[in-house]
Amino acid sequence: MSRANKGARGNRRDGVGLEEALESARVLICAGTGGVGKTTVAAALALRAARAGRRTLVLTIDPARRLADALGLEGLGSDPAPVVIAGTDGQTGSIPLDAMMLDPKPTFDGLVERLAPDAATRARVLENRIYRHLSEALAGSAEYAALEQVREAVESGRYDLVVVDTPPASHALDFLSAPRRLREFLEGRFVQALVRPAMSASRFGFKVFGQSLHRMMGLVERIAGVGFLDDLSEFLSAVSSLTDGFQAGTSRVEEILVGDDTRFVLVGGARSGQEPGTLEFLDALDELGAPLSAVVLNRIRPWPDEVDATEWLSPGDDQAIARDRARLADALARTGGDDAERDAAMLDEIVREAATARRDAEETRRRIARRVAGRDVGFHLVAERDRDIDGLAGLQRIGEELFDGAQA
Amino acid sequence: MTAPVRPLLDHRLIIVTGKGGVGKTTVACLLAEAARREGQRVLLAETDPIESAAARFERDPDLLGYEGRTLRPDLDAIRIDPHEALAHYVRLQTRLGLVTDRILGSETFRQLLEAAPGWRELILLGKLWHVEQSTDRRGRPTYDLIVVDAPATGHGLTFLDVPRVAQQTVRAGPLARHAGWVEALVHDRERTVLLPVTLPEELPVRETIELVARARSDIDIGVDRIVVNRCPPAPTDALRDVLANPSADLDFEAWPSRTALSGLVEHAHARATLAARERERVSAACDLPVVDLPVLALGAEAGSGWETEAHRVLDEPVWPEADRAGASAA
Repeated sequence: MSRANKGARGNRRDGVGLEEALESARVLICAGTGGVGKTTVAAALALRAARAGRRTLVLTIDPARRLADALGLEGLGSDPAPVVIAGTDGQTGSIPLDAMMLDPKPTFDGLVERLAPDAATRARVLENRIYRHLSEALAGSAEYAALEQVREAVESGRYDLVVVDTPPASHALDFLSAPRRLREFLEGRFVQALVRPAMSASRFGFKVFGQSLHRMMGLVERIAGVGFLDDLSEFLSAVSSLTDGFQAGTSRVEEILVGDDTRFVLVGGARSGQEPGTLEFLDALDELGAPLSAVVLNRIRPWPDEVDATEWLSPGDDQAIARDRARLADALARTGGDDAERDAAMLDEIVREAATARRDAEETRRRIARRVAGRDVGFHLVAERDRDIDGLAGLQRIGEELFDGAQA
Repeated sequence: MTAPVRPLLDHRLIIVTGKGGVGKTTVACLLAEAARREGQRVLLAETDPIESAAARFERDPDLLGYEGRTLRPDLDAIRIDPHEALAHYVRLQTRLGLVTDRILGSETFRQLLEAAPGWRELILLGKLWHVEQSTDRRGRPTYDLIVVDAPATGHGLTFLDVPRVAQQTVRAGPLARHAGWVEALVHDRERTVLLPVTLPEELPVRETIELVARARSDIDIGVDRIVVNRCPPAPTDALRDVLANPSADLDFEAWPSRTALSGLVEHAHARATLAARERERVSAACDLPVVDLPVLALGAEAGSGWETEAHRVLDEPVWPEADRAGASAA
């Protein structure tokens, strides 16, 4: 990516590729559906930035064991720890790279601890019956708790760049819209009505809202039983006592998400079936006004570049393939294979699968490229690995491949 | 450990679960189709707001919605929308049509729902219970089998725990009683089984191990096998050797070159080795046998012909260590 492009931005404030993001962004968020290798890409990018001398933190969610080993994360809690370079490639010493695990199951408890104005409020929230059982299901709370950890790292001033691996979510907006959803929930009329001090909890408070609300409460109690509404309003008023802290926190988190110094990398899988999720993320990022630096298409299956996979899969070559199978079966029989026919059929299956995977990957690449056409968004391809990540050196090779695989 | 596993189709309710991207919907569709072919009357229930099952059976399908429709003879499908299920439930409870509708449609009620956690999960299970109980005119169950494509939540099995939690939260009233019925269905080994789907890869396997542990400790639901989806083919040594050998003098017409094929086969071998390790790991850690599903060579879209492979999901589950012991003995 040419540095002359620097500063040229589309109206979506896209970045100009990964190089620029690694050089000058303060926050780099790796977004994408689950199971596409987001965590590995985030780690490889962080390592590259640190090698270039920037003080970098990678916040990771759920690394595979070998990746966690490479980053020295095994057994660590959620405090940043320096990544130690054990010189498999001759480079010993340290680089300015810290790694930290985001709490994989962030609970609301941590937030309550942080945001409660006093110990009594904290106890009141944590001991509420509804809270104890159901806080996990409260809209966006887990995602918001993760974002809070990002904010703390950014505001600590200890890092030039924070690379964030986003938690898995069934839908793209779950993560990115968590602050907004939580705030809307807390500012909603219902919650506000329940918690206004003049109207103490319980259904008595609802009477001022008139007949329809009163009837609704009657309906709820008829089904859920007397006492449920008391518990619910107690819960909501306790949670709402945290509102001030939430509101300050959510707006700061949102500033970071769409700030001038933030870039996004969209990681997508090349497997068939992963494309709709990736396109949905593109929509979500656009809706948020997020500056997108690059799209990484990960886990491209090997296939000989000189053969056009789509053409190869088009019907018509059945006779020739049958002759190829016969040739292979002959060769296998000569070398003493015990079931030449089965082996030839298996090769046929492997070739077809590889060709199909390549065709699907190319189709995905074309569709995403069309969507970002005319924007300053880099495009990177990474091959599927056939073994576990081999330490930091392995991670570095993935970083190199990312940039070698860049496409105009 | 070697006791025969009860056939899947002897259950009334099969909850297909797993993280997003493991092929959960595909497995649910295979199972529903296989059961139908075995002569059962089947309901396939989707729970994700974005429908994807009907597209396996029909090109450009209309939405299923809460009413659902028939996709094949003996196979109906619905998508359980929590709001519609709730309205349905409240109407059944109150029999106050218009007033209830007005309350349910009000902005204040919408905000109450935003604020009340857990009701989506509870009402989803409640609907499944209701369908399980329903009978036709002759008093036979409307469906022999209900296959649920469970929510792909980041919170694992939380939704199955909600009936128990709900009873502790509401304590009295019809809701507590109904939650009790739903909880009984979740725990009933005769009627209900959880079917975890995983891929033979490290992270999906780790998540599956956690999921099965929670299913046993927290939820108390039956689980008797794990579906390992997209098992890659493992090339034999004879095949690898013949392609790696330059003197084999192999010129192909349609296939890529021998060296290119050798590259593909070596990659396939490496993948299969990793996959075998993970398949064995998930089986040993969960102490459960596995059902292997191949990569669906035909694809999973309507018209691809995937139905011919549907029966494989009903195969007797196997123990991976036993395979290896058998192989080394041979």
